[in-house]
Amino acid sequence: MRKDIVRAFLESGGALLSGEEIARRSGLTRQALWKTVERLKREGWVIEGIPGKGYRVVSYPPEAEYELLQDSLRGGPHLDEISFFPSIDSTNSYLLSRAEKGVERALAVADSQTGGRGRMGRSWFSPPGKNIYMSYLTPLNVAPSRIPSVTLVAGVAVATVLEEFSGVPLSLKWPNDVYGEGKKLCGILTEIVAEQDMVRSVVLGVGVNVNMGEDEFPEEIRGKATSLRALSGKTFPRYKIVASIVRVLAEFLDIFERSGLSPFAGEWEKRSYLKGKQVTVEGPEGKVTGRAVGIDTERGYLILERDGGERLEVLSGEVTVREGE
Amino acid sequence: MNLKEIKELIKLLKDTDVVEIEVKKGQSSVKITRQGAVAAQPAVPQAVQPVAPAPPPPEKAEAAAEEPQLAENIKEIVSPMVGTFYRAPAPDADPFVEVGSRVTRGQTLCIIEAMKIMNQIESDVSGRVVAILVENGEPVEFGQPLFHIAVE
Repeated sequence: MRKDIVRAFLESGGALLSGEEIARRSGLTRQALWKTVERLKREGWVIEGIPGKGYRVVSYPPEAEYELLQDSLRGGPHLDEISFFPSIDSTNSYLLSRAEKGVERALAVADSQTGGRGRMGRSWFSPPGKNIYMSYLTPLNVAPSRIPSVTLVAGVAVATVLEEFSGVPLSLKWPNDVYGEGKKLCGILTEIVAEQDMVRSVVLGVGVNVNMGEDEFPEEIRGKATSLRALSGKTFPRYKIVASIVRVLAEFLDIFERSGLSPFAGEWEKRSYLKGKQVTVEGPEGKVTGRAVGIDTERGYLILERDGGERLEVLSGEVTVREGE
Repeated sequence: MNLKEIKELIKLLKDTDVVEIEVKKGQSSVKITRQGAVAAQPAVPQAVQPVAPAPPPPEKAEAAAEEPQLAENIKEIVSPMVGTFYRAPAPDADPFVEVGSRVTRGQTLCIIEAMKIMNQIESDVSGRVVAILVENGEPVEFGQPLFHIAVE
């Protein structure tokens, strides 16, 4: 089957695959295999045939990976829609508009984003072919006041999955970033549509730097950003990571609906990037400084201890680690 | 249409604010107009109690007794959560609504941000925005009034 060949090629990570091996895995004759390889080449794959040895994949068109996404999602949560875009302004905006049309559960994945957003419209570097830009839309049956901590739950879900793939321990920077070796690996942007006393839909947007080399980051974020490849030295088929994230997110949100943040608070604290550090928070009410001592295990607020020992709860604002830390 | 049916219609009209009704049934039709009724009233009476332009949020509970009673058709939209109030989706974008904007049920009025979660707050009524009670970027408390909407 074509899918088996695509899978074998994508998982090869650029290593040489023998024709015999692929033929065995796909159940195809060598002749049928050769035909499939020719077809893939016409679709934009660059594949080297080495006589008597086999095939080596040099590169492939980005959408190839997502050919297998649907299969990988089997056994995960029910989805009304699965969409893949070679390029889109923002997967979050797309799903918010689908939610307005009445769609309840959906996944949107893009190879690149032209209007990737961070908080309050800040842009998020989104080049093609390398990284994951995905959003997951789901109803969430909790009161709006309990919503903020959903970002922390999503953080634990995503970090768990990315640790599994990379084999590298990761940390979580309050409230919504995943860090590896002190650099930003992944950002989570959650958007909610709520009425006065009820949440209608939640859209969880996840951006992960996956197969980007360290030298490929734009200068202004080099040294501050990292990727799974930079951390582990390996490249990854993105569809597998997307499917795992969706599965774990759905599972965790299910628990969150019933039991809130507390079942995840321990896992979160264990990975806290800020814990014990002196930080500055620039919020709507001005600037405060203090030592980050933990999070509120129910509401998810960041707890700061000021010099006099006074404790402060932080709900909003930009948190930076103070120089010299 | 027989007399009994017409009588019923008249009775029905009496109990409502409906000024005029026209019913067609087969070949016959009847038009009933209520006497003394003012024709073509605007959907929103202009005599809506003036709402002070963006009064500062009441100092906790103590000001509660002083709060003016809201006119019956005014729906007060309160914040469902603690957070920061934003009137636009991005710093350089247009506000979701202005005073005077017409809104329909389900339309986004503002964003309340907490822990970097953008909560789009929807209107649960259709009507006209008559007051915006909080400044852009201000922190808001749970239950704090944000908008007054004249329900239509």
